[in-house]
Amino acid sequence: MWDTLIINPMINALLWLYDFLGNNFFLAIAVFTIVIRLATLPTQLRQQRTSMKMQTMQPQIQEIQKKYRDNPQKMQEEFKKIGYNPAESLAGCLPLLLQMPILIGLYQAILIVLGSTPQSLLELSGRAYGMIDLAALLPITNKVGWLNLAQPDPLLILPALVLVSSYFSQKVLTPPTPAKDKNKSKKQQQEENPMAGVTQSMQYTMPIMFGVMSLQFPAGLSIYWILTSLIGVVMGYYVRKQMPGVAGPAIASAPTGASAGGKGYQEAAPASQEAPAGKAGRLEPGPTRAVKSGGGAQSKRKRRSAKR
Amino acid sequence: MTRCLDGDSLLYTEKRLIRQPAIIFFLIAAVVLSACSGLIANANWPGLSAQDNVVYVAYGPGVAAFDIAEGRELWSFPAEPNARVGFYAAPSVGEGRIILGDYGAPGSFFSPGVVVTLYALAADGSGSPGILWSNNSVARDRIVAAPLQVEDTVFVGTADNYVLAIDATNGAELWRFEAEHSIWAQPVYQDGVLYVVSLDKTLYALDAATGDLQWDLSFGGSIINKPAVGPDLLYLGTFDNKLHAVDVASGAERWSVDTGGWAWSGPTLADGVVYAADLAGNLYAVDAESGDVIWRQEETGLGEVQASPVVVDDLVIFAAADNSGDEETRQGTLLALNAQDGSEVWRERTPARIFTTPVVANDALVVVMNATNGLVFVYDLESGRQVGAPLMPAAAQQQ
Repeated sequence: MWDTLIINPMINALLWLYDFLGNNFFLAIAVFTIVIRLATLPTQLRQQRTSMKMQTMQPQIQEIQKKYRDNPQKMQEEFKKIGYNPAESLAGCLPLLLQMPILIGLYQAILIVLGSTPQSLLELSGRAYGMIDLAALLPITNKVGWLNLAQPDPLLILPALVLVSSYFSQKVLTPPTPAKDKNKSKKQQQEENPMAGVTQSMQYTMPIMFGVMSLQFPAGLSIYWILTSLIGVVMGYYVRKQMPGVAGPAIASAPTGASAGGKGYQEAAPASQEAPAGKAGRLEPGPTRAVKSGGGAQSKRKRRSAKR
Repeated sequence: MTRCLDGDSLLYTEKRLIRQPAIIFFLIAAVVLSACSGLIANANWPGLSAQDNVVYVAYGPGVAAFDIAEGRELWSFPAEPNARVGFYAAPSVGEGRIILGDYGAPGSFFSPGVVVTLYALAADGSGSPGILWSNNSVARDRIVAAPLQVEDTVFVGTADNYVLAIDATNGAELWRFEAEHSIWAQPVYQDGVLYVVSLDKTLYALDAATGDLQWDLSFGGSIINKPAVGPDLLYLGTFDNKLHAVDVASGAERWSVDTGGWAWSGPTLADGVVYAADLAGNLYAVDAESGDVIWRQEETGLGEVQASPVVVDDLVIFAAADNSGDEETRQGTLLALNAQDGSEVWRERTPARIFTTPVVANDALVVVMNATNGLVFVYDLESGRQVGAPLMPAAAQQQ
């Protein structure tokens, strides 16, 4: 089942691209990545928008949670009114989960296509579709510059690029978290907004994890991951531009005196939502930058006073 | 579901809803990480060679020597198998030495890459053989092909496109020649010339003393198995479904015969006849000089033939892998034909698929296959019946 639905189509897609692109496996992987990303783009955009929307709704959600703590039924009704479904808060993780079967499948497909042992070559011959003239394509060229695409990068350049690109991708794709309230303990803030903690930690742990994994990945897989992250960065910026209410708080990281993600946040969001139609879809630099610089100065002042 | 919960429980449920996928993600990632340890990349079928009554099997975790006459294991190498290193290339035995190369060990975590080592072992007596020398600096990708010893020189092809000439007495590199792609086949030597085939579809004739290219000839398909060489002609099979004969003096093609599938297995030359097989299970006997087909057996029901034919007296024996059915129940077949007319003499099903060319030792056919009940199987040449119990390296049994 796994082979029929995932591995074999991937293998044959890579072989076809390799043939079409002048027997260049590097290009085949690059185009394959772009095709995969384009194929999953509508889903990912929808998930991304949902995820960011959920984040913008956090203040309202928390208000409702506090207000109707003892009346779950009413709480659900209020959630429904504002269009919040707790299950949708998982959406932020789904793009990553969606990547996993692709990543595992591509890992196996690359190793089989590059036929690094007689056994894998024999396996390839049994998996190639009839329309592909495998004998004419062999041997698949596995060397690009210093890289053997079937082996890890010995110069560690690709793992470093995986780490950096994954970080930026995570940073852009992760929904912005509401401003922290210094009056509340970390535990309190985590309890009030558990999603923020998880997304924040994933923003750092995922790039590190993939960077470390790519130390042992075939270089071809690292190339896939770098490209997919870069496309993710572009997609993330696009979604943020489409959702100006989200872009604001992402930049505004300083507390405004309200509770975490509370009033201060709520005031910032409508400001950009009320932007003229002509400016819709653009970042509103004025208010958000003002908040940022103010917050930065405030933070600096606090640090200075702490030193004293 | 959350409707029946109070506010605190709802928060708790929400946290769980968020954390669960994160945990699942990390678990999946852990599986990926462990799956990415190179097991798939390094797996291959066993390598087999023989001298007198002793066979040498590179079976993955190590190399083991078995005395076929006595039906016992003589030694295994390394003494403590290392799961990170794979041995699949058939060892080369001669001049009191056993030369073998490994598939390489992964480099350290922050120094990725493959460390491939070539070993020379002392082939005297039983017990774990001593290491005469080892060299881990000559190859950067796995050694798939069996090394070839010619007096005090070892020739070995590597998956990183090189054929290396190594001083067999001390492991020092003498020369190297780079092909366009991996070399998976053992080179052949005749009259001071080394013939090397590569996946790059080319046959190279090199001066064995210097490594200088004398001539090369390209074909329409990759070549992955050892050619057979006669006094005037060299014979090889290619992936463009052809069996070729090449003039060893000029490098010109003399004749070619179409096969019904990839000519994966190397041909065997005996008494002026070239015996060959293809992946579709077709078997051939071709006149070595003229290229005329003497007999051809199709629809043999053998499955895929990767192993080279073995010629013993008036028998030609083919070993095959039947890839139909479930993977767990797939078997192999040994088929003995009359070398003169191709008629069937005997046929024997084997407990697992056969990918490795069998050898003859102690007047019996020795076959290696990854069966659940053993690794080394001995078959009677006359009847094809299995002789004795299969042998398994002690180190593999412990695992």
